[in-house]
Amino acid sequence: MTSIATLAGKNVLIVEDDFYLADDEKSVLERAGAHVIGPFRDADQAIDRCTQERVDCAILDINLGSGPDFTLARTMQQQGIPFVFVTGYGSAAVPADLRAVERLEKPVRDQQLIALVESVCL
Amino acid sequence: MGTKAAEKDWPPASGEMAEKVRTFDWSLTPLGPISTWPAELKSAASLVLDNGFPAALAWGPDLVTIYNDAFQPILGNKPEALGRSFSDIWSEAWHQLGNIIDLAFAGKSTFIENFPIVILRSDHPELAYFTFSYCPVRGPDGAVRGIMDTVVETTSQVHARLALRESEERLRLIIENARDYAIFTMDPEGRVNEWREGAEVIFGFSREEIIGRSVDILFTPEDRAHGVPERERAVARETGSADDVRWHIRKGGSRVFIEGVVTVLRDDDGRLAGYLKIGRDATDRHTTEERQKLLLAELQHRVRNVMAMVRSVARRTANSAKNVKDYAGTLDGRISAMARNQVMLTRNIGAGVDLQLLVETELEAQAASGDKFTVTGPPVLLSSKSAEVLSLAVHELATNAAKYGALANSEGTIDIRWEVEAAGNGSDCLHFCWTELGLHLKDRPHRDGFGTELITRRVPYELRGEGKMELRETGLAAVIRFPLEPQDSVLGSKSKGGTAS
Repeated sequence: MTSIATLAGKNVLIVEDDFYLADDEKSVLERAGAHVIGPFRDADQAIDRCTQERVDCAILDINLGSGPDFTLARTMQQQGIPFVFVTGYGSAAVPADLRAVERLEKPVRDQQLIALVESVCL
Repeated sequence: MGTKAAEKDWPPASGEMAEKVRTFDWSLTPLGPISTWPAELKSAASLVLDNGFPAALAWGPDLVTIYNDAFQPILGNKPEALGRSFSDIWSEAWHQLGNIIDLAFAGKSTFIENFPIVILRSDHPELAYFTFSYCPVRGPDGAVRGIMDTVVETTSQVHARLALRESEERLRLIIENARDYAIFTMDPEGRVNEWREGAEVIFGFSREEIIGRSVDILFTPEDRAHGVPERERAVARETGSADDVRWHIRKGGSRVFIEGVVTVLRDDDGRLAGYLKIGRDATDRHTTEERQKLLLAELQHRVRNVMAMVRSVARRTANSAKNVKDYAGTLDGRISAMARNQVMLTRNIGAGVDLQLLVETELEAQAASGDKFTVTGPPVLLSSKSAEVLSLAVHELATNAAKYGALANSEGTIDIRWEVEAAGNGSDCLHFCWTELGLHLKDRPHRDGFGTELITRRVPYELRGEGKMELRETGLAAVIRFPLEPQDSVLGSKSKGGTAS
């Protein structure tokens, strides 16, 4: 179904503390033609790379090991980098000013992820 | 005869009592017939009978009484008082009134307000209140001949005032004893003008400290910046009341969660008189609710992560499985290892997982006998994240050894040892070695990529460390090294005050 490289030429950055989920997301997006930046385990590494490369869409995990944290999301918002959340949390965990951000709840299906990233990259 | 007619026409006042005075047989009293009355008596009697106020005259040493229509209700159903002695009429209260009468006869006028007297004017004694004046009535020689009593009964006013005072007292007691509630009022500009004990207990400000100050000081800086205090009063003005359910600031800066309501106060003409605020300290309940929300969100997060992880592990297992049986067995082993780790984590929440126990648990799961392996190392407690990764790594190593390595060979043994090294930046680093010995490996045995990926890629990624695997002729050697940092979990750390809602 995803034989067409719909994300060709798109730079997608992944921030996810779980190796397997990060690796899965990376391979799914690469099969769809995306150039994946990362994955990154920490917010700091991700922010560093954002300043060096154009990012068409960032995929952010809300909890990188020490509880829900929206610092990275707000930094990306300020820098005008489009992003989505992939998370185990329900919408209640997201602060009101970030409720409008697209959010996929884990476990995420491959097709959902590609479709969401496509819609952001359009 | 002319005098008789004139006598019959006196006193000229109208009214029931004037008529009674005209027809009364005064010859039976010490006053004698009206024709014999001195001018000052007639003047005083006329003054009483023409008076709009309740009034009575008590004349002569015998205090013979003449009273007017307005005085009738004061007498109630007493026997007809006209012509009788004032002391006789008021005998039940004479111990109180006698002295005042004496004073008036001594030439001293009195004025007494709300004087309580128990009187008999119905079928039972009753406490009545009077505001009255006894004033002397003098003859041409200046001597006091009688006294005039001008009186207003104030029983109902006194009762009303007592009732009001009681009601105010009750209200005061209610407010002052409602220690769990902050009850206070503000003027139209929002300045505190009434402040009771409950408010003092909840907000910490004494009455003296806060009266006259703006109520805004009880709001958080964030709410003040967003104009919440003004908006609350505006809603109260428009709709009568406004909810006030939010964090507030106590004296000294600490926060208190208030569940309250502000009500507009208007005077009888509908003009804004101020505001009444009643609030309850709901900090404990609110904090508990917030924590429950946090725990629920955390549970949701963890369960979904575990599901995602199981799915990913299942997928990866499938990639390298030789057949369905191999797939099922391997996946079963991995999920069981993850479950065992969960058991160790939850056995003593927050205390960490003992590394030796972790290693021995995984080897036991492969039914390895004690003479096949040695475990050497100082006591180490692993954080949940480190334990999660390391237990699965040891599981993979042990499974591999049971299938193809030291545990599958009669001469094979496993040397497991670790050390804790100083990492230089103040934190400690765990250096963990798994070394299989006694094998003579000619060909590379089958190994699926899951364990290798776990040790060489997942360890560096998730634990910020390094992992190496080396297949030597004597057997497999794996080295895992990562910093031992106490990784805070949300459940173990302090509540963040509702940032997740």
